[in-house]
Amino acid sequence: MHIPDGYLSPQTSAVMYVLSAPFWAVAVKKLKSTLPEKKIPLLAILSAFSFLIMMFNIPLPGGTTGHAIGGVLIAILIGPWAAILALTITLAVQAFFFGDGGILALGANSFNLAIVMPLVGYAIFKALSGSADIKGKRFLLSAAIGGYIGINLAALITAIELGIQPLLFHKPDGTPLYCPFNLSITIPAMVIPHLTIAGAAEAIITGVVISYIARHHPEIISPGYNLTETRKLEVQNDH
Amino acid sequence: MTIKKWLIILAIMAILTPLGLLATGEAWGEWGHETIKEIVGYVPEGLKRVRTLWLTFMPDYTVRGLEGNMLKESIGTIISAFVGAGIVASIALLIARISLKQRSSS
Repeated sequence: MHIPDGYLSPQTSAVMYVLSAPFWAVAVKKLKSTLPEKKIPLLAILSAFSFLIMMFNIPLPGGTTGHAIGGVLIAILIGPWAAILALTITLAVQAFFFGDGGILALGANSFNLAIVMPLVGYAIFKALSGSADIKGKRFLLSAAIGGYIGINLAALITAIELGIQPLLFHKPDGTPLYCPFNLSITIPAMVIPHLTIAGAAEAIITGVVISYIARHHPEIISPGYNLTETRKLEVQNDH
Repeated sequence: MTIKKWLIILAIMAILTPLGLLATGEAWGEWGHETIKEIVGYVPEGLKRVRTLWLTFMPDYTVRGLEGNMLKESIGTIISAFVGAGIVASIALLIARISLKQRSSS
């Protein structure tokens, strides 16, 4: 799902940077205003975790490979805005040092994987889990479903960004200049493997890890560890 | 959960990353020029022109000199995993530290 340089037109790449920028700005602002000092190690640890988990390639239907992202898992542990930073750092390091994903395409890749995935996946997790017991089944399933939908949404918008290229950018005779595949190819090619194997991997990893942490280290999931909800905790402590 | 426990988990993950090499094939839409020529019969002009100029020092999570057989590639992958995870964690720490500093000074 890491779009390399050359597959998106420079115009598309620029638009995607513009779309990502406000989310990065808010994420940094939230980090400055709400990050508790003792949670800094967790931010660094989960950033490294996202880098490592993406190295575990799994075979996908259609002869390609993919991997879990951990975007929603990280969002549940440190909050969706800190997750944006963790995942963006990972994507940037992958692009600059390892040639995985383009540098011009970093805006697009960040939008898909580091912004949409944790924000939407976390919102779904929150909506489904409600006030469920964090040690219960509903909490685990909500996390798994959030991860599943998060990775699939990221795959879908990646497919759309790639698939609109031949429509928008082609030579006068219609020959595509960048990604040569249109939406009717990119959407099934991206979505089917993620609806099945990659989505299942993401759901299982998210559910299992969250369930383990909820049982054995619930303090990590408690609002105090969630950068977006630190204020709530402070209010609770006053009682 | 202590930091030590987290670091052990991360180290175990890094050591296991060669498992990812077992999945042969590439991610969809992340092909190099040769593969895309095989698939569509040509390399789109823009795709040829817009390419990353950055010299990635560990392309595709490999280490130069560590290739040719599964053992060498696995070692290269593990080194990439530790180096990459280390860089990522360092940048995250740096950003968090700077953010906190700005908070206390403002």
